[in-house]
Amino acid sequence: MTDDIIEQIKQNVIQGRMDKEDEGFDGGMVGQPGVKELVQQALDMGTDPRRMVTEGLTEAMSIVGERFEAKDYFIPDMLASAETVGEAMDILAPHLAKSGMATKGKVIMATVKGDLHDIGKNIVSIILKGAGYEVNDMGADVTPERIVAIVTEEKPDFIGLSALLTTTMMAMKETIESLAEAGLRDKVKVIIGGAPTSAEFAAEIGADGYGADAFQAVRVVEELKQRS
Amino acid sequence: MVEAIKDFEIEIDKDEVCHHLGYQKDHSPNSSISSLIDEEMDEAYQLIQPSCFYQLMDIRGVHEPQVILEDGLTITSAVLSWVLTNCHKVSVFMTTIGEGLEDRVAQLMGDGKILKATVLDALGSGAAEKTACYLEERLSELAAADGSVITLRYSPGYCDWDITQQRVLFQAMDSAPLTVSLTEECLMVPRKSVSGIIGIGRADNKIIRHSPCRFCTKRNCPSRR
Ligand code: B12
Ligand code: SF4
Repeated sequence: MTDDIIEQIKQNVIQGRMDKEDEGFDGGMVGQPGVKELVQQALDMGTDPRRMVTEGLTEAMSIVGERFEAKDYFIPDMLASAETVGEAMDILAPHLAKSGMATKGKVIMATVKGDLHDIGKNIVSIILKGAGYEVNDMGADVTPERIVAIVTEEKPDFIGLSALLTTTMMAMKETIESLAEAGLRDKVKVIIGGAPTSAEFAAEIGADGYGADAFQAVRVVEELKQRS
Repeated sequence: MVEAIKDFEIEIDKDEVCHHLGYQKDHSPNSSISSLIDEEMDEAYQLIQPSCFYQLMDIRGVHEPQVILEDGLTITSAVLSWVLTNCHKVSVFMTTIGEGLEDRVAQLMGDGKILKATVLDALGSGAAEKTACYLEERLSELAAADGSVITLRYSPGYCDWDITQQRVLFQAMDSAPLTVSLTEECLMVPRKSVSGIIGIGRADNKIIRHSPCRFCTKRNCPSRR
C-alpha cells in the first residue's frame, strides 16, 4: 500500500499534476488525485514523510531532469513538476521537522549587485529544492556585503550567483573577492550561471563551478559535494 | 527631436515565445502547457503598453571603428561603421512594453507560481521584440516616403557593440521625457525594453540591408544572425 502511494506520488510529479483538475502532460488524467491529494492521503495512512520525499519527490525530479536533458521535457514541464514538489513540501514540512530529516545541503541563491534579472535564478532555486537542497533565495541586486553577511550567519554549503549582462557579471568576481577578504572563501563553494557567463569565466574569477541550466546546477553541486 | 509612438497594437508570436521557453524547431509544448501559454497570452495583452521613442540624427563621419553623429556623439563598433558607410542618417531608438507585465510576473513569483510567471515573462520578451519590429516597420515606411531605405536594427550588447554604449543612446535622447531609464550597469528599466540604432540611406546608395555576419570573422559570436 505504502509503496503504491509513493509510486503514485512520483508518477504524478513526473506528470506535473498538482491536483485532480490537471490533465497531466500525457493528457486524460482529469479527476484522478494529483500530488496534493496523494500526499495528504499518504499522510493519513501514516506513510513516513521522509520516504515520500526521497523515494517519491526527489526521485521523480531526477527523472524529470533526465527527460529534460534528453529534450523530452522543456522548461515549462520541469517547472510544473517542480511546483508540485514545492506544494508537497509545504504540506510535509511540519511532519518532516518532527521526524528530523536532514537536507542534502544548504544553498544561498542571489542575482548579483546591479542586476535585476531573476527568472533564471528562480528556476535554478526551485530545481535545487526539488533535488533535496535547502535553498535560501536572497532575490536580485544583492551586494557582496550582504553575501558575506549571510555566509557568516547561515554557514551555507553553496552560493549560487546569477547575472545576465556583461556589465553585471563582474560583480561575481567582486563577490568572490569579498568572501576571500572576509576569510570565508574556503568555507563555501561558489557556483555561477546566467547568459554571459561560462565555465571559462568561472575559472577566471575563481568560482568553483558553472551551470548552463538548472539541472546542470544540480549536477555541479552534487559533483562538488562528492569532491569535498 | 524625439518622436514618440504610442497606442498601437502588436501581435505576439507564439512560436517565438516557445523558443524563449526552450523549445527548439521540431518540438512543441504538450496540450496542457500549450493551453497555459494561450491563457497567459490573453493576460499579456492586457498588461502590455507598447511604446517607441526615436530620434533621427545626421551622420557626420565614419572613421572605423567609430561613427560620429550630430553633437559629437560617437558610436564605437567596427561592424556598425561598415554597415553605416553609405547611410546619411540614423534613427536612435528605445522601445518598451512598460512595467505592467513585469510587475505581474514578480507578483506570481512571490505567490510561488513559477510556471505561470516564467510563461508570462517569455510572452513579455516576445512582446518586447515585436514592439521593436513595429518601430522598424514604421521607420522603413517613413524612409520609403522620401526614397530611402533602412538597415537592420542593431542594439548595444549584441554584435561587436559594447553594452556600455547604451549611455550614448540615452544621451542622444536625453531631452525627451522617456518612460525608459538606464541604470549605472546599463540595464534598462522597465526590463522588457530594447534600444538601438537603425541606419537610413538613399535607396540608390548600396545600403547594407542584410546581416553582416556572413563577412565576419567572429566565429563563436552568440549574436550571429
Ligand atoms: C529574452 C532576452 C531579452 C528580452 C527580455 C529581457 C529580459 N531579461 O527580461 C528583451 C528582448 C527585452 C531583451 C533586451 C535586451 N537584451 Co536580451 N536577451 C534575451 C535572451 C535571448 C534570453 C534571456 C532570458 O530571459 N532567458 C530565460 C531565462 C530563464 O534564462 P537565464 O536567465 O539565462 O537562466 C538560465 C541559465 O542561464 C541558468 N542560470 C541562471 N542563473 C544561474 C545561476 C547559477 C548559479 C547557475 C548554476 C545557473 C544559472 O539556469 C537558468 C535556467 O535554465 C538572452 C540570450 C540568452 N540566450 O540567454 C539575451 C541577452 C541577455 N540580452 C542581451 C542584450 C544585450 C540585451 C539588451 C541590452 C539589448 C538592447 N540594447 O536593447 C536589452 C537589455 C534589456 C534591459 N532591460 O536592459 C545580451 C547580453 C549580453 C551583454 N553584452 O551583456 C544577451 C546575453 C544576448 C547576447 N548578446 O547573446 N533581451
Ligand atoms: S558574427 Fe555577426 S553579430 Fe557577431 S560580431 Fe560578427 S557581425 Fe556582429
